[in-house]
Amino acid sequence: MTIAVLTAVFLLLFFLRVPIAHAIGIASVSALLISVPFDPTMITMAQRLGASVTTFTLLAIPFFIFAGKLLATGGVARRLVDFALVSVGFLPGGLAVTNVLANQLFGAISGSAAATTSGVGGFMIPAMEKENYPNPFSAALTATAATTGLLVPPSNVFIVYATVTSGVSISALFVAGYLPAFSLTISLMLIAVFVSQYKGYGKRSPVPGIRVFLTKFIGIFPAFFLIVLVMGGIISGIFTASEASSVAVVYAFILSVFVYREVKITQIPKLLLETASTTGMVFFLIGTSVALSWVFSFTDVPQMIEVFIKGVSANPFVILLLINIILLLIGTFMDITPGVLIFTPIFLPIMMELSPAFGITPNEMKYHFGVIIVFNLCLGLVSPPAGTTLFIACSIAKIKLSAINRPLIPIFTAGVVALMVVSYFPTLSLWLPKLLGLLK
Amino acid sequence: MKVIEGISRILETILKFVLCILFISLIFTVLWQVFSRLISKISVAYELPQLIQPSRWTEELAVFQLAWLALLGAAYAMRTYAHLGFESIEQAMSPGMKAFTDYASRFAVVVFCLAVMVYGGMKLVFLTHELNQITPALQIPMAYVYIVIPLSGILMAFFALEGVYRDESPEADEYLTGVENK
Repeated sequence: MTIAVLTAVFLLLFFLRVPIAHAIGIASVSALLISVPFDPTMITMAQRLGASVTTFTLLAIPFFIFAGKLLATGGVARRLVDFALVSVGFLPGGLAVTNVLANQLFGAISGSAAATTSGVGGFMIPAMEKENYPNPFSAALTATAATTGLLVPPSNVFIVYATVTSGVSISALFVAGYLPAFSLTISLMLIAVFVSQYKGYGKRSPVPGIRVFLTKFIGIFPAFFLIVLVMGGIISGIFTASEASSVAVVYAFILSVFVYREVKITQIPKLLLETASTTGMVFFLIGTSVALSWVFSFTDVPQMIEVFIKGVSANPFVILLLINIILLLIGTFMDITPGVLIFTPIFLPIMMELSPAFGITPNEMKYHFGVIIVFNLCLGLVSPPAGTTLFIACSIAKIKLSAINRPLIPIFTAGVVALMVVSYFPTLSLWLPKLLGLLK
Repeated sequence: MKVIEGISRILETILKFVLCILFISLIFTVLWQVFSRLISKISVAYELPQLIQPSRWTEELAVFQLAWLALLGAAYAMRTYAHLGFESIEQAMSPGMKAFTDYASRFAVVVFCLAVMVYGGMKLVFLTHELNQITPALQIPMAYVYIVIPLSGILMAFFALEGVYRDESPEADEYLTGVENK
């Protein structure tokens, strides 16, 4: 009953183009009103909203967004594309591979898939057009590659995940994202080379000299150093993630205003306000998603879903496949943040119970599942009909949304292959945090 | 509708100013926490006199500022069309259908703001005030933190309604493309 009301109200509001955050909130209120009187319902909802905006861990989110905006405005995209070009541009399908690398690096620094699509896509899609890559292919590749950066730490999505998962260390979670992100990048690069070769896109360019490579590397090094500073500080335990994010703001400010000199001091209020607006949007989404998650647990929805999943199969590997498919579907119409907040409390307990089948402890499964859910929802960002990065890539490439579907199929498949490899080999997410002693 | 435009402009200006101040002060609060902790760590390690105690109140103040920034930011996001919705369906709609969904979605937003944020939020504020909940380090009543919920609700509902007039004005395009020139 609760699920039926929730789904019906949410879908109705969704098609009325009500903002997702409000749609989630109204759906939760309607579901709660079935069994709870008016006053307690409203107070509980307001209280959930208040509780999620007063979480110290989430403080990192506005700071990382602001640091990312400062750098994204400050000509980092151009420098990154230059660096990616001298690093991998000489391979077959050079510009396509460059596109993948530049997207991942920029995504890691900016922390936003949308900013990455427009930042890198703005340079790469026109450049690829000049070398005879068809625009739908370039747009599909950019939209997919732009999401890879969300797995690369420091990533706000992992911070959000940590708030709904008790007893996880953010530093270990961050480090767990590296190798899975790397697997996705490699997989996308391979498909980019393969498609370009098979269809005869692009042309070969000579291997650049070491001097050119070094110049470009020095040009981008200060931006890379931000990640070194933040991750180094967090891993060594000098900063917490929230503290590191405030240091990141100072560093990004100095870099873009005084070193690169591409952001004027008069632009700062505008960037602050853009960040405040994005922060407000994200936190409102967090608030209503947390409320929905609470309504779910109040009405025993997680238990029902567990019974359903276990009814389909008792095989742990089949259950993991099923969860992956459900998460991919959820990702197609729901943004990453609400997806993580609403579905982690439902699926994580099931996976923790199954952890011996994958040769890991329930505690290790918390980290591995974090990677799995973020990976799934990232790929969901790319799949039609509601893929955010797809819209941006299509508008840059000046093509219709329907034109992107065909070239997207092989690229999306490559992403799903990487997802399956990462899902079934927990070593990929757990090896690095264990090596660094972050995970016992 | 000059009056509404005027009120909207004034509210927006105040909101922008408050948001900037909140954000900058939030950055300094957290930086002070990092600084005071590092200094005291160093002085313990090298057995220097403790000049600065690692501060206890910064975390509370930061959370306080964050709550206000996030919820006032959410109201401002309504003004700048930053709340994400399923916009692509618009292409498949007739102009009449588009206008209908536009009004319906604004109505839904206003109902949510008034019922949950203003009504529920005010009840929550009174409840925490009666229970006399105060924060441990700063001794600030939690009611002062939660009062931002109804405040944000009123602003958000106002901006959602006011957007009805704005859609006809030439300004709308700038906001929709994310370019702000003021």
